[in-house]
Amino acid sequence: MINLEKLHFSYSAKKSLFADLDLELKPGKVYGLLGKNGTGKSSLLKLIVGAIFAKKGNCMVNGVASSDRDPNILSEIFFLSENYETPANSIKDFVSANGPLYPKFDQKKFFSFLEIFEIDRDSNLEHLSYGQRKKVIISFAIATNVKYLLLDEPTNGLDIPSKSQFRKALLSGFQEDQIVIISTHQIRDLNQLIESIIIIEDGKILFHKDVFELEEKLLFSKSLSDGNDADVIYSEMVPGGYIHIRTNPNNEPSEVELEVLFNAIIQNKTSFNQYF
Amino acid sequence: MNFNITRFGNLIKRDFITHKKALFYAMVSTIGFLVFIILFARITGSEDFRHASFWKPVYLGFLFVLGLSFTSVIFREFKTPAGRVQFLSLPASNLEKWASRWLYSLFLFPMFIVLSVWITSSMVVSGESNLWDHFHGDELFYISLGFVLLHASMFIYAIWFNNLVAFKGTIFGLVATLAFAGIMAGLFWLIFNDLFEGSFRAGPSEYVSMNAEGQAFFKHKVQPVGEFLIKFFVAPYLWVVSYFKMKEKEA
Repeated sequence: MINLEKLHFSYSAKKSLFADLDLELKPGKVYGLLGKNGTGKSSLLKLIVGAIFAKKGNCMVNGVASSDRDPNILSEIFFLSENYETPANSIKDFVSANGPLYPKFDQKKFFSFLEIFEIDRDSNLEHLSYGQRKKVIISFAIATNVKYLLLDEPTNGLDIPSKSQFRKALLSGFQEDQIVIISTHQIRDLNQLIESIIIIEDGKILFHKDVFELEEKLLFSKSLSDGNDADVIYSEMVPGGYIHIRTNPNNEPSEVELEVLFNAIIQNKTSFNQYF
Repeated sequence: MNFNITRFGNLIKRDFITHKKALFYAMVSTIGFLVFIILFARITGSEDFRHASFWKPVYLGFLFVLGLSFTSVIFREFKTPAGRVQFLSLPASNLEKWASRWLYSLFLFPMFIVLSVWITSSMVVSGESNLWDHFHGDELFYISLGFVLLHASMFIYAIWFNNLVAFKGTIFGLVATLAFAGIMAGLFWLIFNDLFEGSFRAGPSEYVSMNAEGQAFFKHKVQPVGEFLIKFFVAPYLWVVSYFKMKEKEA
């Protein structure tokens, strides 16, 4: 469990990034952390991993303050930062150096993910492209089998087939006691992966709902008209017409378009929560 | 404080594998410099390197310059925000992370330098004389103490500053040492004013100096305390400070 209570954080005395931020994340879900640039998505992940400290409030991971950098907790967290730095080592050296630090690391699983990503296990990280190196680290991150997997923009730098390979690898490695947090701008890449959405805005959690709830309460439809019907909550022009978000009268699950939903919430900050 | 020997071993192993290229280059540079010194001496027709005394300044230069340069880059991950996050989030305690780098910079690499210079000098020096014969009395002890003290300072700077550690550390260290010495001298003068004679306003012949009683007090009371602090307290104190710097370090 990850618990953030009345959390305050700022990089400078003048402007705070988070003020009174509350968030509770439960195991068994893939969370999508969304927000505009500079809203603090990466900082939130750094706070959870204990790389930066809250000015006030609590940030607890499994009941332990993340700022303690408790090694038992850290052995259950893997943070894949956007610009993860890989050493000038072979993949095998990287694994033999870092694998033993994660008690549940599964080498077989790691090599099987490399196969999914079509990476030669005998390669040297130094000679791989940015995207290929990212695939190696993603494979390593999933194979650590940690309880808390924090991924910052994991699909950045991945080519189109790799994005579906990433989804496949993450789903095949996902465990029921895991919390996966994916911070991303590339919502479309992860549309079918995210189970709960967290939107950060103005230093607070603006929206936090499970996707199954959204599927029952909202209806996403496409039409040629701009949608002036009473049940239309939000409309957005897309190539070939409009996409509408409506209330879902029959609560029949409908597929959620995360990007449209994000835009709708950001443009209707105060009113959107009334539909839940 | 949390320390687990298995985890510490894994961290040492990780550091070795991850930075083996850098370690290899550091070792090759050390040996390369030694070979260069011999070659240079031979080219210029000098046979000085065949005398053990020639290797004393070489040993000092290598220990201080290479040893402290190595210490200044011991936390090279701190150069970038991503590197800092990766290092700080490694599954090991702050103490284990601190101790692994402390071990590399204070013992392992300096030991390599000592061995390299000693073996090289033993190979080329003619006669019975040995490099260590040229260190008299407590000289070797005080040289080692000097290195330990400078290491302790540089180790703090390596954690504190994220880049240009050697440069910033040297400047800061000089300024801090001068300021500290000035403040201590001023305080000493204020507290033990009666042990001084002369005036700051007087001419050069009348400048402030310690009287006989003051000199005796300084020699028998202040000096032993100072020596004790320098020998046994300053370096451990600075290492403790560096540990807390590490604990407080943020990405």
